Amino acid sequence: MERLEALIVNDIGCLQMYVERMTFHEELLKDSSEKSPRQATLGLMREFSRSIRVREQQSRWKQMRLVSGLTASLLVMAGSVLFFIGAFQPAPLGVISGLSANVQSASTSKELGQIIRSGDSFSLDEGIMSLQLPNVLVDLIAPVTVRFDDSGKLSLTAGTLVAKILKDGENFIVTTPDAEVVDLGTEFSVHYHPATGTNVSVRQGRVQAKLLDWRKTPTKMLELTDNRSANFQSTTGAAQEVNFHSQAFQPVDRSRGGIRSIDGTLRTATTEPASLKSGDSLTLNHTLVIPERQNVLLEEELTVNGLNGLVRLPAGTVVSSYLVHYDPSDDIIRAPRGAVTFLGQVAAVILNTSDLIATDSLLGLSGMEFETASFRGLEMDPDEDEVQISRDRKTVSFRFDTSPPRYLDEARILVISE
Amino acid sequence: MNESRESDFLRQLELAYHDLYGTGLTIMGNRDDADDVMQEVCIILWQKFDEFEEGTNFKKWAYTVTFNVAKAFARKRRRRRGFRLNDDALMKVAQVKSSGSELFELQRELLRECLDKLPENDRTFLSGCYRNSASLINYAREVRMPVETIYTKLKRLRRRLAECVTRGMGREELRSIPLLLPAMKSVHWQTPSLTAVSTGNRWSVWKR
Repeated sequence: MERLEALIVNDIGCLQMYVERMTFHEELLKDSSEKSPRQATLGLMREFSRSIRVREQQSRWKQMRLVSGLTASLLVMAGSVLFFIGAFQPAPLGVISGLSANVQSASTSKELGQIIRSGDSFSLDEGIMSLQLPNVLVDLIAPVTVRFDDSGKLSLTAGTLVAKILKDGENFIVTTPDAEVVDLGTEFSVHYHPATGTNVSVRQGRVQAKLLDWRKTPTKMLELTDNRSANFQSTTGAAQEVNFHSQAFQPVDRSRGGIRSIDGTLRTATTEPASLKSGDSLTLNHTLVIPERQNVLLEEELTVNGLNGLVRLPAGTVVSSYLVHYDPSDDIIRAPRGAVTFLGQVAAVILNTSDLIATDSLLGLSGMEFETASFRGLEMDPDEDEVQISRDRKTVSFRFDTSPPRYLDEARILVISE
Repeated sequence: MNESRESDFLRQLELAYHDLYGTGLTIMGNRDDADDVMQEVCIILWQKFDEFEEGTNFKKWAYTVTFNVAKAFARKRRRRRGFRLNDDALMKVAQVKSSGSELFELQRELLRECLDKLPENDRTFLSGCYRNSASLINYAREVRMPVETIYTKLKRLRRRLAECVTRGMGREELRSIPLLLPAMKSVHWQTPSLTAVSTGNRWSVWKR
């Protein structure tokens, strides 16, 4: 057997001959029997499905008899409760628009697209969750606990959040036990810990931050602008400017970059994988989208094969790069489907292996190892990988093929920097 | 699962079954194990059919499931009995099976033609052997022939069929076509009877 294995692995002629022999026997088997294995197994399947149906019917009938009396009264009660819940359901505030692959939460459900309403709480033990509110993107960085109060204000009771106000958005309010932070059109972070109080850092724009006393009445106010931070502690009554903390923004830059939202099986990464070679960074039941180099100024024209032919990006263009990486284990049974929406417009989607390799050094993260084998890129034949760009060129949707034995698929998305 | 969904499942399974069985047989190397694999595959496909997205390719989805189930079976058999192909070999086999699918389909077609050319008694004998492949001894008893004679005759018929297929393929030239050419694109290969064209690492072969 070892000899056969060695021949199959090392001698392509023997390998081909082995498969041909097996195909030969398969055809003779098919030809030989009136009741072929196929018919036998299909018969088994029919029997199997009939048994399941009968069992389901029996089970349903038994349950119906047992609970029929109780059900009627429960239905009346449940109907009343649902009526009141439905009648007083708070208006939607936004949706969960992003999740990192490692999100862990013991208490909060974490589905992409889940609607957020007043009164909802989110508590994360690990990872990053992004919330899309009207004109505001909020990233919750674990460990963190937040709650939307009845008026829609976001209350941070532990941990760190980063808020990015989009065009036309302002007066987004975050409260902590120490402070109330009113955004005036900007990107800022808020960190709260009972021992150190509240830190507010503004990366860009303007923020009004107020110190609150024990009655939640504002007692002091600071206005912060680009690259400034302040600390607020209600216990000491301190509200003072401190050195700018840029660290709070780094996990979000690394995980989300300029992504506005993700859908389907897509997830972001909180740490940069050291290697993306086949089998090194498996994506179990999801597909990773990794922000690569951001705001790269092209010093010379870049020509790549895009979705609809050659794409020429002239020298002087500033682009941000994102790598979509799909490398599941053998247990995959569903084709991954998803979409990623960016804040900027998509300039090109690089699909073929040679262009991916050619742009690794310019656009890929430094120090990261990439696959160089031909199966790395996408196969755009019918029934294989599918990629589409939306009409507004902000969303890339895809479905990856799952044919063994090499499942790895990658695409690089170039987005015009804002 | 309702009845229309069930009949839809059975219809799609029936269309794909032959190729799936071929995959199971190639990986397991014998009919008994391939039968076991296919039973497991059918049950998994049935259980997961609700997750299968309508409009996508059932055969490809089912092929992936079959490959993984067969690989898991092969690992188990390897542990238990100390033989069966290892993972590296299975990967290579799957690559060739996938990239040469058109070529193998052509070989199957030629084999069917060669079978039709066999004398009626040889065809009956061959069918009997394959129908009873689990026990040729029983078949020998059934047809009242010595087992050695059965083996010799079977070997002779297989060789004759293989030669017939080889002639049909213009084998002398075609045997040198490697099926795994990762970096090569758009290679054209012609023999007196065949044209082969590669796109990426996949070959398409048809008769001229």
